[in-house]
Amino acid sequence: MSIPFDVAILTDALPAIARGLAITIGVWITGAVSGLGLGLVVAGAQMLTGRWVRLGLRAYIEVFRGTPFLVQLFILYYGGPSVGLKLPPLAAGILALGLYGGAYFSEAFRSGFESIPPGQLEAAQCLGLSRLQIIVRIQFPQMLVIVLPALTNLIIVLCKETAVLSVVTVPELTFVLTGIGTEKFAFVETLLTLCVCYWLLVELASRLGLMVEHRVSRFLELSGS
Amino acid sequence: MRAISSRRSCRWLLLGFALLSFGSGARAEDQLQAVRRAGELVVGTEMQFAPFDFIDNGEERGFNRDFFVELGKDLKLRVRTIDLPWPSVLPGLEAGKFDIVSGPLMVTEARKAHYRFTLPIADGSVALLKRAGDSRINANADIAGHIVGGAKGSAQTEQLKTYVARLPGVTTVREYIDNNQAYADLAAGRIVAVANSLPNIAYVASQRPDTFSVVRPTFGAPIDFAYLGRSDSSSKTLIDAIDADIMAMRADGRLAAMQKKWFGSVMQTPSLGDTGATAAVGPSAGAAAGRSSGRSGPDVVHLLGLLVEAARTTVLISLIALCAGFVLGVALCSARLSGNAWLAGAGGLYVGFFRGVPLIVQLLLVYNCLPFLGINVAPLVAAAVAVTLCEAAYLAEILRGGFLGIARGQLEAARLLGLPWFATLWRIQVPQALRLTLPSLVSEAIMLVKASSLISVVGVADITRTAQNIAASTFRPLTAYAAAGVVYLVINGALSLAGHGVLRRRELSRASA
Repeated sequence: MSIPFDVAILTDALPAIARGLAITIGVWITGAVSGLGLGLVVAGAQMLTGRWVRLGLRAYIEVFRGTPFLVQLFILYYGGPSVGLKLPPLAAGILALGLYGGAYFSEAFRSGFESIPPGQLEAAQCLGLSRLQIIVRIQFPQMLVIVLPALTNLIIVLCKETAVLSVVTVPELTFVLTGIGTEKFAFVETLLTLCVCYWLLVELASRLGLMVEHRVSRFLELSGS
Repeated sequence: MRAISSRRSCRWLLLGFALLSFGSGARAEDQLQAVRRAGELVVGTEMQFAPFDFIDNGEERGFNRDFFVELGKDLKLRVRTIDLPWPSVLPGLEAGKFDIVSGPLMVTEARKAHYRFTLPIADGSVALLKRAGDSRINANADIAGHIVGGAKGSAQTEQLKTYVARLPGVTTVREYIDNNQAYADLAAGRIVAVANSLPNIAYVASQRPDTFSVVRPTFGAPIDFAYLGRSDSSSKTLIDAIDADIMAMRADGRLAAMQKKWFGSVMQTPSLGDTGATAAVGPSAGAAAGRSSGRSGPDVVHLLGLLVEAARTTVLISLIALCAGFVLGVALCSARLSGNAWLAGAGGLYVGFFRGVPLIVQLLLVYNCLPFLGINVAPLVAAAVAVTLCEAAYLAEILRGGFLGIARGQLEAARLLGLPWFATLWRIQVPQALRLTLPSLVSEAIMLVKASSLISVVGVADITRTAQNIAASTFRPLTAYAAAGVVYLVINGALSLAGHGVLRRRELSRASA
């Protein structure tokens, strides 16, 4: 048996596919940025606040890292309305991505902070820098460089998780292409196109990540010597 | 001796040609014969289509179940049902995952061109379901300018789109993976109405009269409900046999009895010639039969029991993927580090592809496209294969770090000792790589358990799919999904504790050494 492949199905739907791709990229970027922000806040709060807040933050991290994204999405989107949280699909998708990403990002940031030699902090304290100054001027920039590869990885993970949003009717790439597949009875064409699109996105992101890494590590070597 | 063997090969050659002329070997036998030989008719459907197919407290119920029990008796066959989300049902039929789709489906011209319908078994005309007491929606046309919902890829939704296009203003049609999610969104107030066939929404409204009500009359053209098979010539015998049995059930009143039980009234489904259908008035007896458990509220212990049972599938798939993925991952990893440019390139391409494409897309691809290559497997197997292939790529990447961490001198020593490459790999590299990467492997196992939730999308009854079914039958999505989350947390917590235990023991043994 040969594999059926009808290019016309794809070219006819090009505008719809492009719209889907745009939504995928948009959701990905907003989700990743809000996840990064949340992760940074959670990581910082874990360093600065007392025991009870820390305990709560730990619980958030463990729950969001210990359950599937799909289940989190279902709880937020279908469970939310029964407690008065009624979000449209797109907003629910971005929020879910941000919350999920935030848990992972905060762990990456925390390990980055912890890998800075304590001698530097002692030195900074001796020089009379305030706690906030130490974080902003000394810990933060170094941490960022250390965790860059991990961040790139996590951002790529989020890109792939956007495909799951199709399940709650976010009109992103997977939703659009599987929809065309069912409508036109063309599953091979649409699914292969999906693979190619995501592969390109992920490849692009990892290349970008590597470029930034090179750039930053060059700066590190200079300042280190 | 020679003469005999050449005659025999001649016969094989002829047989080969005979098979080829049928297209492929599998087609030589027609579908009715194949089903009879297996003694089993496999039915594909989505168990979220009450009153036809639904799961009530973990049990399959509905019109279709009753129908196929009768059909099985008449044709002397066992009937097995595969439950999967609606967008995967038609691809599954084409892929040969099952013999017939029970849905039922609306008889449309577009579908007739691709598939072969059975005789109609019910009236499928489309109507709207609204929130009870929503004073804005009193007639069909009142949905103009609002957001309405329907199941993705369904003919009912197509009718809705056609209808909405004639209304003034912009009316948005939101398409859901399954009907229950559309009902859930209607209850939540995100949309003002859901379009579906009258038997379905009349049943939903009768189950939850204070939440939903039906907007009458139906809109669009009157349309029939029928089961669906493949249209190729070998499937004809099977569908003909089912048609004959439908006629028999119509004649002896069994079909009417089932309609009365599940739709509340008898429908005049047209046979081969006549047209026109009367709408259902509203289910009563069948609705009452299903209401008992839906109303009394979910039995939390029972529901947790269902989820824990489903957890076995999740754990099984994860274990298979971890073990098989590990072997494949070691192979990939040694290919990438082999020094052979072609092997390394192929390994890199594999890892890049499977880590670069979302697992949900890989699952759909394996599930829907493998059959075109002549490989046809059950959903559980397709899921296990897809998750394993993907997991192998991740494990290969983790192990690569471990392999690179082994001192080169060891490999040189092994070569000098004359150890074959496989022994070097299995005795020297793998154990050390395993030890070096253990922490990453534990977190990868946790990622795997979570990723396995996506197999629910191709209809494997894992924790997530079971939670979906519970959410649909109890209308308590928060409870159902939160309970599923707890089950995942317990599994992953146990995994992480076990990982910590192993690591600590290793530290201790190292310290004492």
